[in-house]
Amino acid sequence: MATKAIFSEVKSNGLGYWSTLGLLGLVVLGGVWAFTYMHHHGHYVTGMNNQVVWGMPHVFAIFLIVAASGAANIATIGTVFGKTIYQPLGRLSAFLAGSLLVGGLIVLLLDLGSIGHVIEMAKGALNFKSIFAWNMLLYSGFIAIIAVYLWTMMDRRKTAKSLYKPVGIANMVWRFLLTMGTGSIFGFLVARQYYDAAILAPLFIVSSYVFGTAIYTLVLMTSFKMTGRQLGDSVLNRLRYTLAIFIVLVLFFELTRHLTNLYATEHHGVEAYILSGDSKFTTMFWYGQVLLGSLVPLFLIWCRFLKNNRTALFLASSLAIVGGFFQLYVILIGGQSFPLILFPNADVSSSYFDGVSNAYSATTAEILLGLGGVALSLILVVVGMKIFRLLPVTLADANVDPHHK
Amino acid sequence: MSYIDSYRRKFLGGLAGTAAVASLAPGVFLREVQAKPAEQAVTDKVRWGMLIDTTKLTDGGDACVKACQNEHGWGHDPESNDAQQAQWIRKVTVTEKLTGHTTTLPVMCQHCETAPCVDVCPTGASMKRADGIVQVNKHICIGCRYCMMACPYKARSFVHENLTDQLPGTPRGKGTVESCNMCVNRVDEGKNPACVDAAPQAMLFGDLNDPQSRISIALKTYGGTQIRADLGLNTGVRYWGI
Amino acid sequence: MLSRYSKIIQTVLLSSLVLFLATGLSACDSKPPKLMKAVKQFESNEIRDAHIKNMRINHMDELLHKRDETVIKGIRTKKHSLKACINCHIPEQHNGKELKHTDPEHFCSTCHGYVAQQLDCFQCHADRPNNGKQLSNKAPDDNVHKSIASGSLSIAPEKYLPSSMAGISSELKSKLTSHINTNIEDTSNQSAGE
Repeated sequence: MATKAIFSEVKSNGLGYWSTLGLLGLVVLGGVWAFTYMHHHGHYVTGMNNQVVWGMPHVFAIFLIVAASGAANIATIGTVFGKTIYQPLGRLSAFLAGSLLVGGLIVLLLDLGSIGHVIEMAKGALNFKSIFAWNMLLYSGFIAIIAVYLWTMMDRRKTAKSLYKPVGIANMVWRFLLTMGTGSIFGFLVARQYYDAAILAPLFIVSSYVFGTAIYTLVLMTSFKMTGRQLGDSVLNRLRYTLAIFIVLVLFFELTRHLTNLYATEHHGVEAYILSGDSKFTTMFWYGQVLLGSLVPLFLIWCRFLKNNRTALFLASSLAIVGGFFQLYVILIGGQSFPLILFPNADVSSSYFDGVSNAYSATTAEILLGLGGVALSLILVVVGMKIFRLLPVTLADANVDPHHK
Repeated sequence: MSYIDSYRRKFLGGLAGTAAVASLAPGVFLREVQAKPAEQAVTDKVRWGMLIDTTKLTDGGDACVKACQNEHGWGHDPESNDAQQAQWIRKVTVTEKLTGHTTTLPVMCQHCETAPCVDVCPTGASMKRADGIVQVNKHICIGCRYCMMACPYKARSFVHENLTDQLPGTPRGKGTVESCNMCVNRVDEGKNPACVDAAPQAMLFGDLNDPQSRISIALKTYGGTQIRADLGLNTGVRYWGI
Repeated sequence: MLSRYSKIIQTVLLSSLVLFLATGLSACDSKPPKLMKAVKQFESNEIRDAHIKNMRINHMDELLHKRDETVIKGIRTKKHSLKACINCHIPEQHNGKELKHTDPEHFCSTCHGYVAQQLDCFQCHADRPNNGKQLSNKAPDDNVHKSIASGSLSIAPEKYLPSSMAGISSELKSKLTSHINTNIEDTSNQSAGE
């Protein structure tokens, strides 16, 4: 690094800052309303039912949690792999990760049927064979590690500096476990045709890199634009190609997953349902996840005519997020929509929706609750930028890239 | 499936004499279930189980479903739609695609020995009692529905609304998961589960750990099919004729 | 200027605090609400007083302990069982209607309302003994069982009896009948409560 990066808080007290905060605050209020509404009436006011038991709030929550892990990856590259160009990006990366996690967890928590009973867990009602229980430890541990990690990045004392790398490594390992744990929520469900596959754990890991990098890129570009800081192509191009590589990796894991499933006769039904059925999940998978969420961003990144084009990168990141959302929707809702197989090779019917694909459509309250979580994450980031020195004063090419002419 | 059929043929053919002892003669053996003293905790010396002969269910299990509803009071929660309505036990009609052979059977919690719902529950609310009965301890259920995702039998329901007028023997409430509990309240008093009493000609309830119990003898002699035996969950509910 | 304002604010705050405490403490002197008399009474006043003394302070802990004993271990003694509490404390009818926990006269709600303590039990548990639903909802199928259980085995409809029972020995029949009768006695004892 040519010069040591200098960080500063967001100093602007202008209309831009406060209206951003106000807008996000309104969305959070919408989420709060949705929560009280669902909590007061019970879950009958949602689209969720006894067949599709996890719905839109879970798609949002898992998206945010997975993205949190990925957002911290930028810091990891700088710390663990010693890429100096990423080091000035570390503070925002870690802080964004913590914020996204908090937003996701809040959504997950507020969807519970009996939130009051959560207190029983503090009294020791924990089952350590449950991946959920592990995740609770993994999530809270992650927030703690993120806090220490930020301290090692921001404190000038020697102890902090000496802990920078070890904590960075611990953070990386912890993230691996965390995302695997989240993937395993589904991977360990033996009964469901679309889950029950260990490959969901690594798939969630690579997906986390896509979601995290995409969100990071958007937050970085927006905040630099709004605070009038310089953002050079060197940094953006790193993010651009990181995003592309992870999108390709997700496609690879998806291909492996579906091919493995297609080989086993018992999974033909669900694969046909998702990949070639006439349900909305087929559309979402091919057009949402594969085309819009993967191929178009790849084109936007690698097309020679769009080199250094910021609009293209902004669009590619946005589309990657949309694609990731579709991906989780298909896995979560699509997987539950396909009926459980109690008797193979037989037509099954009952008054409890055996043998039929289950319908689900989210109600406004569910969507508002999910969006509330997203807005909460962003509020934390926006406020964090004002309190802490998260953003480098400049990321101009001359400052970050020693080889820049 | 086929070996059960051959057993049944033998049963109908000439073994009626022996079978009379071993087969489902629940009218007679209804009360072989002994009530434990109320102050005594349940132990793993007992494992409660159920045997259902689908060929003798003249109504396919409607009476069982009705008896369960009366015992536990589910199925008419006013605000919930059909897909949200609780269903502890249901009548499932199975038609084999190749042969067209149709069977109906009641399906409820199968009371697995290694129950996936117990494994995944973060709080331990989804639990198996020492005597093998799987149930939800609603006091500590946070309503995350992970057990519903994990259950291979779709045996669980979530209460989607505020309830009033619950039955004294079966507390049910908003935001918790529930399922067949083999009528623990009745079993602890030495009674049969309500569904067994509703179809005594086709269902047998008893201790699988006691080799002398009617259910054990019947299962040892004629076997019994588990739904999704491939999962290796060693269910407490076994069937004849599926 | 500023300090004068803060002084005024301080005074206002302090005086309102004093006022609040005064009214609050005076409320403490007011009589606790009158509780509904239990349906069943203890044999002696000593037992009753000991019961009241313990339950006033400890009922929540006793119930919490018993709740785990019952759900996890299947221990169903009546001592500290919520069902037994309800059966004794809540009448089946009160002024010609069923008493629900939403009524302020309900034994539990009277106190809980007075101290503004949330009462969660009745989100799930029955708040009165044998509410009418159980009786009115009885299916005709239950009568079948009743006819078997009441020992009238010989006149039970043939179709409900398995064919293997046609030649049932008289010894077995009497054994069954006596067993059933014991069970029935058990049940009636239980419903009597303590």
